[in-house]
Amino acid sequence: MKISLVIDTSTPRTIAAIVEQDLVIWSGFHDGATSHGEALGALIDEAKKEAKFRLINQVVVGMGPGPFTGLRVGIAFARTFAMAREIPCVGVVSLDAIAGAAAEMASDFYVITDARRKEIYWAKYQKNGERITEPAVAKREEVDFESLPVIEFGFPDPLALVKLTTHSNSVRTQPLYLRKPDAVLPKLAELKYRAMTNFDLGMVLEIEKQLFPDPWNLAQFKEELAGVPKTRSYFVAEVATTQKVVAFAGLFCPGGGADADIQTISVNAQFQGNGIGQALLDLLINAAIERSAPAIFLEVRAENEQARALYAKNGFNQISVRKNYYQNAQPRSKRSDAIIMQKLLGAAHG
Amino acid sequence: MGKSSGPLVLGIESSCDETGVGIVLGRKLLANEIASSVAEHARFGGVVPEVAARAHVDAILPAIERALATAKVKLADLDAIAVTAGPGLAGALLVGASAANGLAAGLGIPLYGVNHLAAHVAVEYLDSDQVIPPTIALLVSGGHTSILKVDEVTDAITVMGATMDDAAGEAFDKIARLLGLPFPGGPELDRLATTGNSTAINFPRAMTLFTDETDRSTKEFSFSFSGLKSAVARHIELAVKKDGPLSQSARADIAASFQEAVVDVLLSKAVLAAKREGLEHLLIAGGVAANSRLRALATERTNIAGLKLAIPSPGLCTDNGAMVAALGSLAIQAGRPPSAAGLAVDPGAGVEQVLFA
Repeated sequence: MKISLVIDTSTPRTIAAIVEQDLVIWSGFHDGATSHGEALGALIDEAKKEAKFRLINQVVVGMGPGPFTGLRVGIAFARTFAMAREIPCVGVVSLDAIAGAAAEMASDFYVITDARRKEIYWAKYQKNGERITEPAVAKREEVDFESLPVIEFGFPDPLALVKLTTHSNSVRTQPLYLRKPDAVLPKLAELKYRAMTNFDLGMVLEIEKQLFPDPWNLAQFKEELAGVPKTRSYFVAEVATTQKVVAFAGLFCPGGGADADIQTISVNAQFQGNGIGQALLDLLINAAIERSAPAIFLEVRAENEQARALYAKNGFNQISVRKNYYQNAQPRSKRSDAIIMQKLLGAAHG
Repeated sequence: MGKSSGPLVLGIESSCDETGVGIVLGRKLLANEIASSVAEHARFGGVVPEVAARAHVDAILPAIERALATAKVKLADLDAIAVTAGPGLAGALLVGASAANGLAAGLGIPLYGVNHLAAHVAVEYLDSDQVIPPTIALLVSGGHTSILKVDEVTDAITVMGATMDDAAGEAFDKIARLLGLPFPGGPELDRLATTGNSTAINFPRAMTLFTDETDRSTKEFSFSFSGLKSAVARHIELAVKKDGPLSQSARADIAASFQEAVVDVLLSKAVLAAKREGLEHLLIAGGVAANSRLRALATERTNIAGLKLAIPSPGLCTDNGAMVAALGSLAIQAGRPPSAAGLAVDPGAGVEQVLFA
């Protein structure tokens, strides 16, 4: 006879239940997006009053997707409770337990929950409740719901969570964070942009090595900085509170009517997607304008679509391709073509 | 296992980047297991809260298992669970508190939420049967720098002074970075300083004093390290401008002189606090208490002042689970009540709150 302690903290609702076979013999919940820890403790205190509490022989926990901090409360509790009782702890996809509790659907459907930061967690399901896509996180307007029904902001059902433990497609051992830790890294407002100095080079080299198969070395960067301010402009983005450099950019611009060339724009992978590249690009374009460069050029790896999109958005046009430009890259598979892009400055610049 | 020698307590520490699990029997240390996510933070030059919290989730069960194996006890033998409930990083604290809650609920034993700072003090009383005396505690770490008056470690602690800007450990880390040392910079700077001349540069000692004569207590035991930090940064900048990149010996001199300035101020105020309160005992705890110069100068200064000095062994100075278990055990022996099952963590908890309801 399976008697399960069921826990889910993947949504603003903290859920606990005791389920015996197909019967929910006790359940409780507490709504509040920021108090999962206290709520779960109080719910378990309630559960202890059930005679079957001491007979629990399995823990079932929702592994998300869900906002990190709350999600971990349930998972950490479930794992150590199971450890203490020497019973198994089974993690399942929380979204599937919302789908599983849905009334019989007439068509395929979607389930979404709140991912905060104006985003949603979502997955697509067959009408029988079987999940078709991997759970994902996105802005709501970016998901094509194909005019199918959408179950919005529901809560995982305790009985459904238990049923999922025998369904291999739903069983997970690791929390479904779906986002990189950068989600809670400092906001753009807390970043400071300033000129690069020699003291920054340690952190700059770290980022360089992280991003490029053919990184510049310390001597190369020092040589570049030696050209500041005469022929070079270099900037870093640093976290104001910790003074940690998370991105940098450099421009070659000798002045005297010569064109400017973007040497690099590099953003620590964990900080990408926060508009830092755009902010640095603005600084470089301004520096080029200040030195009266008629045009600004750059080379970008052919396969770096994110960067190419950024440059295109800022008025850079592709003017040629250099075959096998990045030929020092290791491993060989990383060698690739460069796209040359140009933006005309002067009166027309925005 | 006989219970005559006190309660068997498992302590969990997860307030920052170390996942610590310790086990004590009464005041006897049985296990102290630490898993650190420091390597994952190194590239950021500081601790990233979300990275730390994720690492805690992965590390905590294995750390508990290792601690049980080292202590040669079973979970079922435990009398209580203790856990750091604050101060610390909110997400990180919650992982430890939730895990502790799960253990306590699963085993049906009480849970004690304890103060991280008080735990740093309590760890000193492990493996000794001395009567715990009222003491002045100098607490120095990456997150905290304060002088505490500890009348009773499980109940009555008051803050005499704390840093008004950077923690001492933070200043160490920042200056270490200016000197090109890897994160975490404190221990690296300590090493570099051993080869330098601590009187080479006369960096300022920020002897913050009372703001006005009517309230002498305001700032007398407070600290400020931002001025010193700027002075060191300015010194480096000027030196580089004048002579180019710093030589190894120039860097060592800067490290030693900076370290001396910090340690001098810390100890001057701590010794003064003990005298002012008429206490004979000075205890130094927290991660920076592992600093070799602080330990050496503390011995010297307390000898001169006629104070008894206590510093936990270096391994127990940094964040660990044993200190949490130690405070939990002392709380039980002092007859303090356990926390509620819905223990609320408090990232900004003051040291006055030794135990959590």
